[in-house]
Order: sequence, then C-alpha cells, then structure tokens
Amino acid sequence: MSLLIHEIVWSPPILPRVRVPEWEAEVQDKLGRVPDSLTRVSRSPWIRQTVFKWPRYKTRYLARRYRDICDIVSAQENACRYCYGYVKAQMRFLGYSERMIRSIEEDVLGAELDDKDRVLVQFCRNLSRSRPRPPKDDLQKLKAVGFTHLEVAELVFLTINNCFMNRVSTFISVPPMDYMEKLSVSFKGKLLRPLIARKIRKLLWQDDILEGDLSDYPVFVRVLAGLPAAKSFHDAFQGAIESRVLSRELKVLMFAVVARTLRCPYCETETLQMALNLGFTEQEFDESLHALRSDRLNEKEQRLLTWTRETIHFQTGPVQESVKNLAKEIDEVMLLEAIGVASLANAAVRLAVLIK
Amino acid sequence: MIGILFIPVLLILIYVILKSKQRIQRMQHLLKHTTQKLESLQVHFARFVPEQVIEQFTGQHGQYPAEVRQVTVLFADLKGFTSMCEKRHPEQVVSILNGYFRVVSDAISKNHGTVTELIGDGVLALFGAIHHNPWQVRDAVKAALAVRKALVDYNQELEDRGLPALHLGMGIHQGEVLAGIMGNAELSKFGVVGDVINVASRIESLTRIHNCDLLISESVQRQLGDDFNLSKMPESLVKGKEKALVTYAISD
Repeated sequence: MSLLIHEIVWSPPILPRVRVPEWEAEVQDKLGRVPDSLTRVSRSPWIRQTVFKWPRYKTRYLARRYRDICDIVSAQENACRYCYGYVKAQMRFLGYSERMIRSIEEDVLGAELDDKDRVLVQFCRNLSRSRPRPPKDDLQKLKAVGFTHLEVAELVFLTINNCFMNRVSTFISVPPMDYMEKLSVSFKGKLLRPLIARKIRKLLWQDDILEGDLSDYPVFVRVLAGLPAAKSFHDAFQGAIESRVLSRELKVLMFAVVARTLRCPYCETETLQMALNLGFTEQEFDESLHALRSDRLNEKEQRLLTWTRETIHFQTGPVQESVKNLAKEIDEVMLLEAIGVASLANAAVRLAVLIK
Repeated sequence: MIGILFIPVLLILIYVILKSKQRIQRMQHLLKHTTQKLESLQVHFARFVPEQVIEQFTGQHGQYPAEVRQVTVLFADLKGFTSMCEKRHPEQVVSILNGYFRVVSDAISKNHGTVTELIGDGVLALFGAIHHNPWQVRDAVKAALAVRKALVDYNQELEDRGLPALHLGMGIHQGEVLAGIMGNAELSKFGVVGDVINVASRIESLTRIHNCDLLISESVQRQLGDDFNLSKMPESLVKGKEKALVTYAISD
C-alpha cells in the first residue's frame, strides 16, 4: 500500500559522507553547492555521475507537469522518504497547489487531475510497484489518452530513473532535506518561490541524442532511441559493467535475479548471453540462479547475490535493516557498488516494458 | 440607478462566494475524514488478509479471480497442544498461542512467505501464492529452519514464565493450487484449494511417526540440491492416498 510521507520509517544514514575534492569541485561548479546525497556515493565514479545527472534529466518531449507527477508517484510507491520530501518541496516551489499534491498522494479523483493525468499516475504506480510488471496494454492506454510514442518512452525512462534513485537513496538512507522541506512551506519560501523555481528549472540537464545506427547498442538503449535518455542509460549501464569493484559474474547474476523475479524472459535471455560470454555454461548459469550460489563468486559476493532479492519488492524499514546487516560483513565500497548495481538492474528490467 | 443596484448585487455575490467556500471546506473536511477512516480500515484489514491481496483486490476494482498457481505449502501444527489446553486456563493458552503465532509468522514473512490461515494451533503458510517466486521451495525450507530456531528461544521464554515448552511438526510440499478470493457476497476470503494442501498436512502428521519436527516431500527434495542435510525416511501410507509417501527429514 502506498504510504504518506509521515508514515515512512527511515533509519539514520547507513553509508558515511566521503569527501572527494575534485568531485565536489565539479558538483559545486554545476549546482552551487554539494548535496549530502552526492557525498555518500562519491566513492563510485559511475554511481555518483548517475546520481548527479539522472534526477536533473530534462525531458525533451514530456511536459514538465507529467514529469513532476511521475516523480512524486514513484517516490511514494518506493517509500523513499528522502526523494518524497524533496519532490514534494520542489513541487511547491514550482507552484503546484497543496490540493493537487494531496490528490496525487491520496490517489483520489480530485478535480485538479484530468483523464490524462490519472492514466499516467496509474501507469507510474504500476511500473514502480511491478507486482507484476504492467502489461504492454498499459502502454496502449497511455497512447489512447493522447501520449505519443516518444512521450511514453520518456515517461518509462523517468519512472525507472526514479526507481533507481529511490532505491539508492533508500538503501543508503540519505537524510531528508529538512531545510528545503521547511522552506517550501515557510513564508520566506513562499515569497522566494519564483526565484527558487527559476533556479530549479535552470539546474536541469540534458544528454545528447545518440545519432546513427543504434543496432550495436544493448536493447535497453535501443528502446530509448530518439531520446537523450538513451545516452543517459547507456552511460550508467556501461559504468556499472566496467567498474571493477564487483566481479562481472556477480553483476550478471544480480541482473538475472531481478529479471527472474519480475518475470522478464527477454531480460533473462540477455543475462544468459552475458553469462555465456563470461564462460558460464547454460546449465551452470541456470543452477547458479536456482541456488543463488556460484563457485565463481567469493563469500561476500554470494551474500550480495542473495541480498539482491530484497531490492525488488521491499518495505523501507526491513530493507534498510538488511543493508545495515550487510554493512557489518562487507566493506563500504563494495556495498555501495552492490547498491548501485541492484538499483540499476531494477531499473533495467522495468525498462523492458518498452521492448516489443 | 446602476449605483443603487451595484451594492446589493455585490453583497449577494459576496454572500454566495462565502457560502460556497464554506461548503467546499465542509466537503474537504468530510473527504479528509473519510480518507483517514479508509486508511485506518486498510491497516486493520491487513491483519486478517495478506496486505498484497488487499492491494491487488482494491487495484482491480474488487476483482481477484482465482487462478492456478505453482505454490509451496508449509503446514505447521503443535504436538500435544490439545492435552495442554485441558490443563491450562484459556487466557494462558491464548497468550502461549499468540507468542507462537508471532514466532512462526516472523520467520515465514522474513523468508518471502505468507501466513494465510491459522487453524486452531495449526499454521498454513504459502510461498509463491500471491506473487511469482522462483525460489519458493528454498524459501519454505529456510522458513521452517528459522521457525525451528526461533521456537528454541520461545520455549526458553515459556520456561522462564513457568510454562511448558511447545513441540512442533512441519510438513512442506509443492504443487499446483487454485488461489484467489473465494466465497459469496456475504462471506469471502483469500484462500487456496488443491490436493497439495492436504498432502502437506499429511506430511506434517508423519513427523509424529518419524519422530522429527520437519519433513519435506520428494518433489521438494528434488528441487533443493545439496545445500541441506537431508535424511530419507521410510515410505509411509497416509489417509486418502493410495501410494506411500516418500519424505525427507532435514537437520540443521
């Protein structure tokens, strides 16, 4: 059941802030400050880049209003206290009424939401939740109320972008941005709204469009063809695969666990192919997946593979407890990397809803 | 003339606006109150029906058609509890039982299972009934081992309170069931129907014959691999089955 912001149980931060001067300088230059969340992921170059860029993704086709609705629905569905508070405050600065925000949160048919909004809210909820993954028909429902193919693809990317961000923030337990939340409801904040809204819009960032033939790219990139999201996803995926903190075998198995749980045969086939390229036989891969164990993994990696299951459908309190327990056995760099890979796997398998 | 008319029209307009505002506020208050009541109802309802079932049920406009699913069933029952009840005050019995249900439910939910029924002192738990779970057999076995471990601690707690220890039997079997909301307009519940439930219950009853606390069926054993310490038990005939059942005991 979707929780409201005050109902979410949130533990103290699980990973500490780590200062990486050149990284902080880059962030400072672009944002004018260094948010707490970015210092907790600073030790993984690909995770910090993704956490830095994805939340500021500037849509090319989808209107800002839909993007904001999608953000709050996903944060609520994934019960991410940090993201939920941030998005809610941001919506206030951008001029959304409390009544409209409440209508979305409480899933009531308020007058502020039209048919298009409601179909979009339902789709974002279903895809974030993925109990089970929404069928292809749901994409048709979006098109039936007037969304174009590229708008739908961009909406799917935004939802999975949120699934990634919500998971990383939840598993690390990033502290909520109390200052911003309080400012958004204060007199001072209301007075400064136009200025803050302008700043929020200015901070958006857009990747280039991948031009030319995309047939050499993985299918998860190809389904986003025509959108800046294709490059965004590609960069994150490549970063995760090329990082050497975890073995490739573990990463492939982690993707496969998510694919099998969310019943995505296509994704399972893709992960099998990746496993074969690493030297697995089909039988070995299947047995590893069945037993959630592989001789190719060390003891700590075995533990992370089993943990991957907890990242698919979770309740905030227990999942943060499980990460805390992991932190007792696994060093922080490795844990951060596993959090990133599991979150990206959850995003990728949900993205497969676009595969024809 | 226009000036004379302007003031009463303006007053009427202000009156209408204020009245409308009041009405909107009343309706908003009512909506908030109803939402709170609904949320509270949903929270309480979740104690009687698995939360995911409510989620799915409300999300599908009150429809939850029964469907055939592959599930793993864990059936647990206390040994000698009926005779214990005869010697104890009912309030004491309820207190012992509640603690036992807490221990069993925690172990099951931590291992991706759902307790769907409490039948006297028996517990029926399902793995893979509500959501697809490719690791349901292992989860059920791990849950049973967790119950075994947690019961040791609970028995210690009972002993400290001067109460007798509990002894449990558990049976695990896998197969197809019909899962969904069943019943009529007056009374419905989420449940499963299928022979696999009866077999799990019969396997549990064999723990008394084989003098152990946990038995699994052959179909479960085939899917477990070599991660668990299994001992094959002598084949046994059970009520309602023509063929003798092959079972395996699991040690820690």
